[in-house]
Amino acid sequence: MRLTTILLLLFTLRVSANDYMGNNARTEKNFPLIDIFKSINHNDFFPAKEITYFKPQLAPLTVVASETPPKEIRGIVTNKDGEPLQNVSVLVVGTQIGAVTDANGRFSLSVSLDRNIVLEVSSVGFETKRINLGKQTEINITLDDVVAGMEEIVIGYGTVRKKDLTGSVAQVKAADLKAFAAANPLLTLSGRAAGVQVKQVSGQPGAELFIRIRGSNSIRGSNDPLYVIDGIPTDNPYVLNNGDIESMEILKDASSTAIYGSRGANGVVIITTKGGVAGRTKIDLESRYTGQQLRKKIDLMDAQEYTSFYNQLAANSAMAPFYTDEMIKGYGKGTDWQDLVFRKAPMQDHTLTISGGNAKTRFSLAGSLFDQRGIIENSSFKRYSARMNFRHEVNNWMDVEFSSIASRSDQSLQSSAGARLGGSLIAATITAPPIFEPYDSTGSPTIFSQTYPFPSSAMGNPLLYTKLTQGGSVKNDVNTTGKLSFKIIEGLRLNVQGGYITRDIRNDSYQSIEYNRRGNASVSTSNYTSTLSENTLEYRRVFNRKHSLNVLAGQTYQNFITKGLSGSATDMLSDITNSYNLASSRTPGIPASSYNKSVLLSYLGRINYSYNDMVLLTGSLRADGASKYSAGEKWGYFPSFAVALKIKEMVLENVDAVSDLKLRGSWGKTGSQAINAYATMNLLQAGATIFGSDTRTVTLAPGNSLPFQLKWESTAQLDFGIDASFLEGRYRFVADFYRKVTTNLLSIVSLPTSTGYASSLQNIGAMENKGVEFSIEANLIKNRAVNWNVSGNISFNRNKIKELYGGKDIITGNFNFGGAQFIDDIVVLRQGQPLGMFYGYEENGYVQGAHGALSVVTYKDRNNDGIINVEDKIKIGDPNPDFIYGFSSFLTYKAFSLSAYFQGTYGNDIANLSALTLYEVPYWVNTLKEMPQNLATSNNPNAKYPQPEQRNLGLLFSKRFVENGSYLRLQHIELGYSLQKGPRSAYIFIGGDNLLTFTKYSWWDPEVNATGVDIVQGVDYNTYPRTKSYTFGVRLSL
Amino acid sequence: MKKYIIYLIFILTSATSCKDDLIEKPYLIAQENFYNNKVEAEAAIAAVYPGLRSAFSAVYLLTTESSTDIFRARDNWGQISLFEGLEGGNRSPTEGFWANFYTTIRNANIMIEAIPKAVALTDTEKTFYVAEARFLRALAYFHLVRCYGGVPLRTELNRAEINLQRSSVDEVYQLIIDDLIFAENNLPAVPSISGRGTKWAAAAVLADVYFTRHDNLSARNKSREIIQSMNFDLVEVRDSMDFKNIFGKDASGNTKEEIFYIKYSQQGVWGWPRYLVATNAANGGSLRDGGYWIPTGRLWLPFYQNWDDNELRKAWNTRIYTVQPSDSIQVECSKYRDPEFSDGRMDYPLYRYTDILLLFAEADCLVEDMPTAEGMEALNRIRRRAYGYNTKAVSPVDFSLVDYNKDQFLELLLSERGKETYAEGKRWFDLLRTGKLKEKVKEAYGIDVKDKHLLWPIPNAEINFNEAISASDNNPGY
Repeated sequence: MRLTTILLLLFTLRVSANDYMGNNARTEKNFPLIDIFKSINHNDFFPAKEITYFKPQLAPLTVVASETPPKEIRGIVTNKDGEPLQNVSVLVVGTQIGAVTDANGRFSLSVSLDRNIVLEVSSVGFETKRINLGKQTEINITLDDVVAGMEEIVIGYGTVRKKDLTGSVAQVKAADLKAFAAANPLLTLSGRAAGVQVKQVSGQPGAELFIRIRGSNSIRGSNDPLYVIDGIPTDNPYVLNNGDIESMEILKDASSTAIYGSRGANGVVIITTKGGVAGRTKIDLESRYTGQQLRKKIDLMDAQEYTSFYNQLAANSAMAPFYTDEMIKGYGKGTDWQDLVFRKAPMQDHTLTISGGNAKTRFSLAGSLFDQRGIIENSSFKRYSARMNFRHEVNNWMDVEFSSIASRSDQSLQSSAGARLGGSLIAATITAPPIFEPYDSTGSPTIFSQTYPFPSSAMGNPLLYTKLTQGGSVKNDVNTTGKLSFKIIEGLRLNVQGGYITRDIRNDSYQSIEYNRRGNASVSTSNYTSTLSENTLEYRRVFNRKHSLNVLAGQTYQNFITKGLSGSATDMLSDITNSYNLASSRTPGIPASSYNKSVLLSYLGRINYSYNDMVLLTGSLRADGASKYSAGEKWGYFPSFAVALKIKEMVLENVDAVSDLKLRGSWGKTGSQAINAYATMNLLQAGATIFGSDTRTVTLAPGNSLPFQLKWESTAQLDFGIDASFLEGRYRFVADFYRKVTTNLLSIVSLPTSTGYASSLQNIGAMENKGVEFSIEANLIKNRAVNWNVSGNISFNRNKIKELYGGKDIITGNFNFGGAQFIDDIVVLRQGQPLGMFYGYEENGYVQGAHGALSVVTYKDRNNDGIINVEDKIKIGDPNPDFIYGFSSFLTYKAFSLSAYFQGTYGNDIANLSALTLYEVPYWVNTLKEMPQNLATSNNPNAKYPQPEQRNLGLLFSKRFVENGSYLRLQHIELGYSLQKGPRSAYIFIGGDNLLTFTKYSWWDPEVNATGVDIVQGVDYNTYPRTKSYTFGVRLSL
Repeated sequence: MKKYIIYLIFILTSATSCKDDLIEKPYLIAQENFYNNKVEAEAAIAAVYPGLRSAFSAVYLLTTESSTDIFRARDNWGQISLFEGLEGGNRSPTEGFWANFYTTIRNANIMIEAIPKAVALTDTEKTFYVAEARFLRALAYFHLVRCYGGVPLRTELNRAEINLQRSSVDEVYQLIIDDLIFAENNLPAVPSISGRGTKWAAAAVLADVYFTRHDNLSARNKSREIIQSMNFDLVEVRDSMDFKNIFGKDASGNTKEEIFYIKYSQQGVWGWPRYLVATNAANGGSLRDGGYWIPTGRLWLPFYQNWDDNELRKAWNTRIYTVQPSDSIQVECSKYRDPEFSDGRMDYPLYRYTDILLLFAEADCLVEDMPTAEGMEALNRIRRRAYGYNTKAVSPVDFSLVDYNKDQFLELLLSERGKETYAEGKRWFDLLRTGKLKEKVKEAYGIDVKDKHLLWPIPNAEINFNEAISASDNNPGY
């Protein structure tokens, strides 16, 4: 079968090649000279006699290389203002002879060709020009600036001129990335590209981001976009620094993403790393120093307020006061745990890049160091990386490219997971009583439950985390790709690419013996590899000057293998061993190992056709075969179509004010690989049980999920867009409307537990996302001294669950606060409603506790059945924003520049479960300073807080815990000064991140998503708070 | 030349992929390929046990013990002690037990279905594994039927059906009795390792089943058979601390009192329910006195008041302590003492010899319609030990047959049972069986128990997702 395919393909290749040759020879008169030269270039390589033999009819046009005396050609390259251009590549077409201009724009070439010489002159930012020299030996060449829309945009498996895009693609270029000292390049997408939501959900150094393109499609599967770094699809974009990136393209509509088939549904981010430019070797150095601090403190009670408050609790609980007035005075302010836990922390980032090349070879080498300390002790992130990008033209029909990114990151983690009281560092920081001493007489962190008589053992000293627990992960990443590109005949190229990703992770965690008198350690390692093989054929041709055709066909194979190993130990003999000697423990854990492999085999094809540069058509099809799915469901087919009408070229040719106007429409289907490998198999899980006095016995039984036939989640997306620019491109406007419907949604179908299974994963359900996006860019002022660009975008997405299994609600988002304090599910997924809606109880005021204080929160029994249960819940919040937006301003005045980026969301709610700890007064927690003044009394029965009493809270999820999460944030501001001397430049800047936030949200930060999942979004639950920071930096180009 | 290079590369690269790669070959064992030989059968039968251990190590005992006249739970289990309902909040506290028992049943059913087809097992081995699986299945159903009434009856024949209606209580008991008789006839008298099902374990459960069904004659005969087998005996006690030879962590598998215990371990997470283990935080234990899950008694409870302070058993089993900061005095169970570890390693004595002795005494009285000498001797053996006397010799604390008529003897037995099986998860079922739950709870707490509380609600997860059971099929009152 495969052999037949290959033979068939080879045959086709041959036929089309012959066809083209014949055609060319017959219709040469219709082509300008330059095209004829193009068409014959490939023949130049062949010795004359072979050409004669091969294509005798071409003889009149063939230039035969022979011994002729060398000819000196000199010239100057300038821009349209007559200024000389440096580093411009000048190449003799059809040869390997070339030169690069010097600082004065001069070049010289020595050519020994007895024929018409055509020069190809190219430089970044300028239109590439071909010049027929004729008899000239001296020439002045003027290059034109790239006209807006002429720049190439990287799309899946190819590039396209921005003007010719039929899909919805946003681009973020190196220049945008430069202006932003983000630890993570993807953070620069925040507020820059319409329809892209980027949330930095944790302040933990090295934390990953929450990125969604046009909403969430899936309930159970991942909603993360696919990343493609230098052609290799991956799920890990975190290996790159800002300085490594040439451009990032965000593919949003289905006509752009369908070429990625089963991985395209959540959008695709294509990242291209920087390559070299022919010319003088450049050295770029970029250094940044940043100081970070906690964005804001939570206003908590001091020791005096705390003790008075708990005397009130005693009074409300019919107990004697705990503290005398003298004691209260004596406590003073007490311990400010926030000050103890949070610190100011530095961050630095250095990248050195050396790049350059000549006409045939271009390279870029970069090394960087990123070093961020966290604002909490024992948390940090350090990354060393090296990158290489190499291109070489082997001869005039073969190119080779190689790029490699190696990175090592070392992350120290602090408990970032949410838990109540002492269960998490952050909750402990809030709840630790100010009257407690942080350290005991030996200087070790106090263990509250042993030192003080009353608190629950659940209450923890936050310093136990920062001082006595350690954890972290070390990751070694190598992404390598190599590509050979062959020009088979003019217009037809074969690309053979191979890629390899490997990622080794080692996680360590250790809890000191001092912490819980036992000590425990765990270690896990995993090794992930992905191998990619990709072969594509691309054919580009213009027929009769009106019909432009670009055809792509290809086949790819990628596998993903993860191997894991882990071990643990408790009852450590000594802290000395940390997690590096599990054997020195009294109770070693059982080691575990795992293996997981999946394979994706694909065929893809795409046709771009343009008629007279007015009508553009795109059609694509990808067939993906994935090992993860059930037999018979392994193959998925993902088609797309798009059409674009260039109105400007069609009817507005003479309207000067309109420089570009294009209407776009597209439809396509994409998929999502929402399941893990082996999910459809009836696998037995190994476990163990105990017999006798302590004999471990292995067990094998099915898990609690019943396997089921599974197939792709598939998303059909319709997109209409308009691209317009006015007044020579000074004002640009893009608008898109889209509607996505995801079907075969993977849902967890709950089973009656009497089956012995809890649930089964099935393809049932549908979800819709529809929305509009607008973005504008304007060059408001442009003169010799001042240049002011502003841009903004706004996106409205509406999500709706169209269908759920049996029309039944999915109740999720369970938070358990020690049972009696709070135990509730906060989210209901309901047909017809958006994803992640908060459902809770309606409060019915306070009633008196056992001793008369208004300490009990009551809830409405809406259906009057005498019990308060899930039936009484109503919708009390919506985590989905009405819209997200961003705007930026970039102003330069002479050598100064000032840039500012704002981004925000509007209309979303946050479920603030961090605030639950405030109510756990039966556990002697510290709480908000404002609480004592806002307690319910007979005069003020509807006050914000119930009276404190020593009783079980029995709180349920209600509006009390839902807050307005809208915000507007000054994400980044930067003031810079540029120095330019010839080719050398320096840029010095000071900047700030996250300096200003306008929000009504009460807790650390409105940009939260503690659960990290889409169905329970917008939950704040004691995550590592975000920072604000100030940066000083320089960028040198030598 | 160029052409051939390109063709060559094209062919080479086309050969890199293969459709066979789309077939998954995990390094994991699939259900279809398992249950063939003895090693596999051992791992599969072992997998039936964790469901039971999970059921008992969770809050099952807390829930059942706190629903009686001798314990009181706190916090959200408090409403159970107050008989205020099992359906509060979003989920019922009793849902997890159902799931754990049914996981046991599922794994047993898989065994019962697959083992007869095993190629590398002898018929004797097949019968043995099926018998062990049926024993465990019966045990799980026995708990389900008593707590929930008629439940969906899932066997190896209908285990794939998602929607299955409730069977009648009689149908459930029929399966239990059939399974237990099969198990009794085909399991060995002595287990290969303690903790696994035996002929006598099956017999003990069968006696309990007969007794619960008020088939007193069968219960009497079966318990007498166990007693007369001479396989079991009481551990002698001279001092209150000697009870650690029965309940301490080193007693596991080492006493003749053990009929069928659920095994727990220091390894992993298989500690005995922490809320029942008396440990001391100051000694390295993680529990503090009066933790919120710990069921506790009260000094003023009739049960405690009537418990003779001179009993060694009382000294071992109970500890009085003051809960801070409320200064209330409570009675904590100290039966399972593990001062060395923060997680318990002792077993859950699900069927202990004393249980069978008391069962025999009661059944014999009911059959004969009066207390019998044989029954009284069974009771007295336990009574003697409670005071440190030799269990086999007449002692000053012996009860005398002449002092008791039938009703008085039954009342005495209920009281002695309470003390002997304190915190063993027996009291709730004893009170249900004897029909004395309402009376005892009223006496202890002044609470009138509603009829609905005699059965637990069918879990929401069952009513919502089993289309053959609707909300109206739930137990009365829910």
